Amino acid sequence: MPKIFTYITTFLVLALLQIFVISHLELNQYLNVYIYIMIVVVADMQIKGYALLLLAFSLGVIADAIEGSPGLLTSTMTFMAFCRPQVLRWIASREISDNGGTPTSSRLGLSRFLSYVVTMVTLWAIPFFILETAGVANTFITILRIVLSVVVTSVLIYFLQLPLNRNRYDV
Amino acid sequence: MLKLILLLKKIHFVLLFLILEAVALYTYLTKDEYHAAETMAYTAKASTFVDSKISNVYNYFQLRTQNDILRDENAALYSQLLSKFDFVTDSTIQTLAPDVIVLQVVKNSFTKQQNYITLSGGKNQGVVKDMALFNGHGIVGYVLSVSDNFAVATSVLNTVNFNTSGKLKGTEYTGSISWDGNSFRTLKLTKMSKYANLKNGDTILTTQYSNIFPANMPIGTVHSIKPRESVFVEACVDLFSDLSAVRYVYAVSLQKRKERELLEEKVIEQELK
Repeated sequence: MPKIFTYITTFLVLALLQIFVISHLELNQYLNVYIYIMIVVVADMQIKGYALLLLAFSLGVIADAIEGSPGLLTSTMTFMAFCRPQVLRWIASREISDNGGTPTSSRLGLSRFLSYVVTMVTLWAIPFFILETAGVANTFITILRIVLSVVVTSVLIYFLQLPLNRNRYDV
Repeated sequence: MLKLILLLKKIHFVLLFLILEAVALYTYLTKDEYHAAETMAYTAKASTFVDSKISNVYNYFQLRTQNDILRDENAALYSQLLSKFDFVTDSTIQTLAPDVIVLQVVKNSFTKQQNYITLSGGKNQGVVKDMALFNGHGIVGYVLSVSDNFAVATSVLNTVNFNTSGKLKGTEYTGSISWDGNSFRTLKLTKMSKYANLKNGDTILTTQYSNIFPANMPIGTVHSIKPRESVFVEACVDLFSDLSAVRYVYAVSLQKRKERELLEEKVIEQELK
């Protein structure tokens, strides 16, 4: 199956999870989880940079249409995609990233995988919450929202990538 | 030419990122909240069927709590009736449309900076844009966009779309009411005259200045009063409505709103000329 269909299927699953489960769990007023961003985190390590940018941008547009926030998820997911090659270079060894495949905890090792996920989610969360709260001067609340959302989103991504480990299913 | 192609090949990743990011940021910074809500109402159509099913299951398990809430709301309404509570002070200024429509909340957010409420009722049920929403306790928001059977409303917990005036109960002192994006239980009251002599626990109501909310609807109670500038005070207003647990709302519209809006716009246009 061409990779693009795999990405679209994965995004659809994530979108359904977001719309029908996560959006209904208003656990805490400072907690915003957007699981759509997982598509950028788990994209194949061999994907071309421009392809990842276009993928993040187009899926960001769809996520924004669902969430009613035109441009917000698009810009932050595109930024995440822009940073990803550098983050992978820092965290994963060249040998691992050259082999390609989905960056999972079994491929990268647990500690490297967690560092990778937390870095990627933080790179999304900082611009996201700063843009969202533009004009609202409350730095402490914004930092709290970033920290809580990074922790919960990272934990969620860790559990959601476990089936990919077991099935050796590459996104 | 070859050099240019080589240069573009070298920087294509950064260049593509800058172009895509510029488009996305431009869309975000120039967004129109009304059109965003319309798009959301359109895309929500796909999920609304399942949302209403989830809502039904949730409602089943919440029946006891909902009964308690409805009982409390009825009690509050009865007490308003008994004390001849009237939302409208002067029928020449604001007249309520005869029908109050009860709408079920299908989707409600309160953790974002711009929160919206999706309601199971649209044009077919008589819901129109700019209807005020309230429950038995106080104001909740207003309708932003309507489809045949659904409506998307802005919650009072919206840093961009929600702004109204509020007055101290029993006086004519008014201030500005908005949400600062922090607690979902508290709104901000600003530009209130210090001569109003605001005290903790005072009640804030809507005013007749609004084109959306009928006058004298309860908003909340005052706390944390701080002096601002020379003649103003600022305060937090604890909402009467719990926006994290709204399952039903009442929608009402002002009959002469359009006429008043057109006249006000005409005067502003004339002043600008």
